[in-house]
Amino acid sequence: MFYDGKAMTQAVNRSKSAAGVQRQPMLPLSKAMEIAWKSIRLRLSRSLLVTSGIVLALAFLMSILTSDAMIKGMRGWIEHPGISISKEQQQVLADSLRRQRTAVQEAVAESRKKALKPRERWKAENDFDKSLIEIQQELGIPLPLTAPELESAMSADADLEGIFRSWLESARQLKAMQAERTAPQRLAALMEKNGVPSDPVQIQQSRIQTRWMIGLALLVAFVGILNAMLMSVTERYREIGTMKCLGALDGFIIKLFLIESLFQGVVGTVVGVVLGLLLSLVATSISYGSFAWKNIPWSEIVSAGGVCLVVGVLLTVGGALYPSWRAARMQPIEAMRADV
Amino acid sequence: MAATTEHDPDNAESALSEYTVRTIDVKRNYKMGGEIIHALKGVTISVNRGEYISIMGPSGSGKSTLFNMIGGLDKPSEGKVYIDEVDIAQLDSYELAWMRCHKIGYIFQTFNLMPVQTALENVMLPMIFAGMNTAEAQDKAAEILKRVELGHRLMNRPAEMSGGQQQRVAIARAFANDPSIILADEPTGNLDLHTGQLIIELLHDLNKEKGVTIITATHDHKMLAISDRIIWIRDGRVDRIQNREDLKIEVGTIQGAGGEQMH
Repeated sequence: MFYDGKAMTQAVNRSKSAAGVQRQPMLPLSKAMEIAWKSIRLRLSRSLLVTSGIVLALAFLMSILTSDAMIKGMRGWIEHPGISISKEQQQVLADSLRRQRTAVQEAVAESRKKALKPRERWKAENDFDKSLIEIQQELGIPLPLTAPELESAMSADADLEGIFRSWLESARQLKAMQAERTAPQRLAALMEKNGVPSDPVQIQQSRIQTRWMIGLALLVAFVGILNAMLMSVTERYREIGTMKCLGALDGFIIKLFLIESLFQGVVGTVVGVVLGLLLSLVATSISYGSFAWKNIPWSEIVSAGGVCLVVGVLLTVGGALYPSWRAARMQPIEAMRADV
Repeated sequence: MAATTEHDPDNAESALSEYTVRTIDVKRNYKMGGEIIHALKGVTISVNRGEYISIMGPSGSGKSTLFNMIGGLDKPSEGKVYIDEVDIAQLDSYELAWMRCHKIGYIFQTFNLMPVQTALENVMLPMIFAGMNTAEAQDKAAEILKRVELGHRLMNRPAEMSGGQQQRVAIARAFANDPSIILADEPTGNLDLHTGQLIIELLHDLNKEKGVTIITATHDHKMLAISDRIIWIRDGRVDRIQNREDLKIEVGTIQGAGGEQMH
């Protein structure tokens, strides 16, 4: 407190004054909290509208950040897939499959010599999950004999079924192994098909593009949220003027709007971040299937969420704080008359 | 004046207590698109404690501007405004807030109730701002609302009440912290004839009952009959001041005279 001329005059005035003007006490935060909470609850539809604007803006930002992180993650996986199967292991399995194939063919030839009668019953009860033709199509590996030949042989001789089954198992294992070893190439092809570049120059270009998108998303959030908050505060200027008439301190009014906007900002941002994350997870899964889940960079997604939270809350509170600060400083009559 | 000693126990001999409001050569200029508009061109008035004053004048006369100066709602460009002999230009924002909270009760043409709060909470608000605890404020607010015959509508929101009822809530709110001045800006402006009459009667009764100074800005003829003095404003200046005694003498011609002023 400076004891300048004005303060002195004030002191003199006060001592002279019969009324004895006092200083209005600052109300505790809990009171502001109570009033702000009530205001949010009773204006629910209005505050939901404002909050939904925040949600949309943040969902947009978050989904762009998350999609970008996931693409990066998949690209990293293509470079370092971390596959544990070696070429040798695959070769060993291929050799054993070849031997089993010969075994099946020999067993069938052997069985034919016996000229056993086919059992109609076997056909009806055979417990392969699919027809042999379908199995062949699925595997992409030729059966030891044609499907009808195998089928008629197996229906005549029950022992053949076991031999064929062990071939089938090995074939399936080999198929899975091949799939795992070629997965990075397939993902790369898929990314190329989706227009995601793979060579360094193009990656650099797309990075610039992504930065533009993030900038755009930030701009959308900035304009959208500031606009919503400015509107929702300025339409309450008369209320602010009235509160000043009733003895509210400027600081209390600002505190009231700060709490209200903080609440809206946190709720809106959290909902928006979750929504954006889900959206980009779903969109990436649709484009890349199970590859999307192979290498999700959770730490990057968490930090993107953190960035969104900071951006959302700062914009919301800033957007409410500025007009409420301006209104709180106005003469009450100006605030009440202010045309919005 | 009996009310004087009651309001002013420490400094009864002071001449300060005689007037609740004084303005000295108050001027107010507005800038409007590069042009300066002189809304008030020097107004000097004094209002006695417990008086019922009506400020009359056509729209654009500076009536509302003067009214806002008296209530500390706006600051004069030149001149001084004293409320209870305190120059309000000297007050900092905390003191001004205290003054508005404790000394002045405001009633507006558009009621200006908090839309999200019940009648009871609206009346409690100035008490809360004054630092009163909730239970005490609740009891007092309920009591004042009963006085304005709204004891049955404590939990209603403004939207659920008629205009007259809303204005009575606003009146109750204005009286919340036992102010020494009530400022009513066109309190009947948004009400029908009959409801307006009831509001005027209520203000008159409260004026007599509580010894509070009431200052209204109005167009309403019915206000004239209960006013102690009428300050006619014209073209940013005090045109004339009529006392009630003068009014009674003029009673035959007042309607005509008033009408002439008004249109």
